[in-house]
Amino acid sequence: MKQIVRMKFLLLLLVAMFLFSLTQGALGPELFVQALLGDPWAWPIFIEIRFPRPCAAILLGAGLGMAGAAMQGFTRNPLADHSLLGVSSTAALCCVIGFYWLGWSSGWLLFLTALFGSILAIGVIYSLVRYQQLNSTVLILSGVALNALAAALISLFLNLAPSPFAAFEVMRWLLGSVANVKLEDLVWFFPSTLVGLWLISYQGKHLDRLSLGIDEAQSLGTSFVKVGFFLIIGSSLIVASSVAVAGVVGFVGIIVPHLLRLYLGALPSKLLWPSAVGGALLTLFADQLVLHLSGGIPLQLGVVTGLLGAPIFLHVALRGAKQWQ
Amino acid sequence: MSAHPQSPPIGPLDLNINIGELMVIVGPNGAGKSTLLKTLAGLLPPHSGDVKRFVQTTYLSQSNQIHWPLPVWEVLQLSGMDLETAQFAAMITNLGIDHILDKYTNEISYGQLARVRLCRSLISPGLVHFLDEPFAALDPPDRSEIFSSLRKLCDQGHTIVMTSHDLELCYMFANNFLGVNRDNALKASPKMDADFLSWVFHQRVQVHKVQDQIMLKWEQRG
Repeated sequence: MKQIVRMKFLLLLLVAMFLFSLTQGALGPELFVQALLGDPWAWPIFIEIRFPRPCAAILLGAGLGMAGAAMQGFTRNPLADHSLLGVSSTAALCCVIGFYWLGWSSGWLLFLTALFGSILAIGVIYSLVRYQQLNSTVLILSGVALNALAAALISLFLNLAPSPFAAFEVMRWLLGSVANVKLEDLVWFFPSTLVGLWLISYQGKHLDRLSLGIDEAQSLGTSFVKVGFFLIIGSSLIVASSVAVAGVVGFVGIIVPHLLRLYLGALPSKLLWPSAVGGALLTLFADQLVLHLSGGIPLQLGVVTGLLGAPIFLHVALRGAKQWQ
Repeated sequence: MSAHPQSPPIGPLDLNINIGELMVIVGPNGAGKSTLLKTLAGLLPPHSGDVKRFVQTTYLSQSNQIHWPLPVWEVLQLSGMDLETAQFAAMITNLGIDHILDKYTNEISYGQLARVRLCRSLISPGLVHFLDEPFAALDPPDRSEIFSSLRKLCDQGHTIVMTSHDLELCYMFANNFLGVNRDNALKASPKMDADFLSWVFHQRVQVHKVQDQIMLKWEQRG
């Protein structure tokens, strides 16, 4: 009961935060009021420029939050996260290759290349869990190595960039931001995130059983391979679309499930939807910080979530050393 | 019979397990008891031939851990069964975990965790239970108590196939034995006598019967 009340509170907070962010930005709250009143001049500006940004922040946070909670459930490791284990950077690497070699600039094509990269990276991590029976430390270290490899390859491409301007553009995008998301990006960002959330949310019961270990979960009727397949597809849709739209926004998938675990308990299925709501709230909040704290040089969203996330990551790591072994 | 890819196959084996049986798999370390149990439970494919299971089965692995700190009742609920029944109440009383339902798995002792996991496996849907070393973490007096409650379950129509190193207890409570020896050969026997044990462990042994219990005296090697 208590948990439902808490969830309702979070949802309410999210709606309030969303409405608030619709009033913020260039041209101030007047734009929002005039657009609502049906002003033919204000409406297109509102819908094309003001509206996509908080929407993208919500989709990004909801997806990364739930995907993080699911990956932690699947690997049974509170430190697992798509940004930390190199999934986001592999997706970003594929986008960079798309930029440079193939000259793609449309979001849709970048999304497809990012999808390829994240399916590959999550596939590698999940098969490590299955076939190497890795303990937590080795899993994290392997993910960190994958991350380092992707980052090194991205650096290589930046290094070889023909013009410093192009390299700078890519670097800004890699830092992660929803400030310049366009309405037409939402057309594919929205459905791919929604399908991803839907695919993952159906695996809750199986993630719970996995806390007994793979064999016992299997004896209860959970197929590790099948669950892994749906999670790979679902999380890849989420991670790839978020990377293609907004670059690498890290740590959302660690911060949110970790904080919620303190209030809702550790059962993976109980964390999936709350992590989506909490992730949306966190990203929207961080993006408002970005909007209001930015002076001459605009702050990037990924920088803010990184600053918030790294200390929490350290906290989970130290706590986990005691509790989750 | 199958094994991990690296290890040689175990077998051959032609065996029927009947309803109400309490069968124990015994053998030296590394002979393949756990692999055999997993194969019988359907978690590993057999090397050749097939394992037919006519009823739903449950499985309890050897590693005594739950991967998240969960309340005990939440672990038991993973079985998918109703926790309000009289049957469940009797089960948790028998296993001595009725007073720790609200505790978290990281707050209880290793032995208590083993009981919780055993309970989860026994209440899961299925009347045939494959248990890998369910007593390894328990104190000696508790082993015999819980073994006897497993025996009672079998008398009520459950079937249990388990691995164990407690040969004396197995003698008291089990009614069928399956030995795996170091050559990965298998032998089924309805009773545990000196011939069977010395075949399984490659070592001469004297079996002394004292009332309904036995004492084993192993001859020194070499």
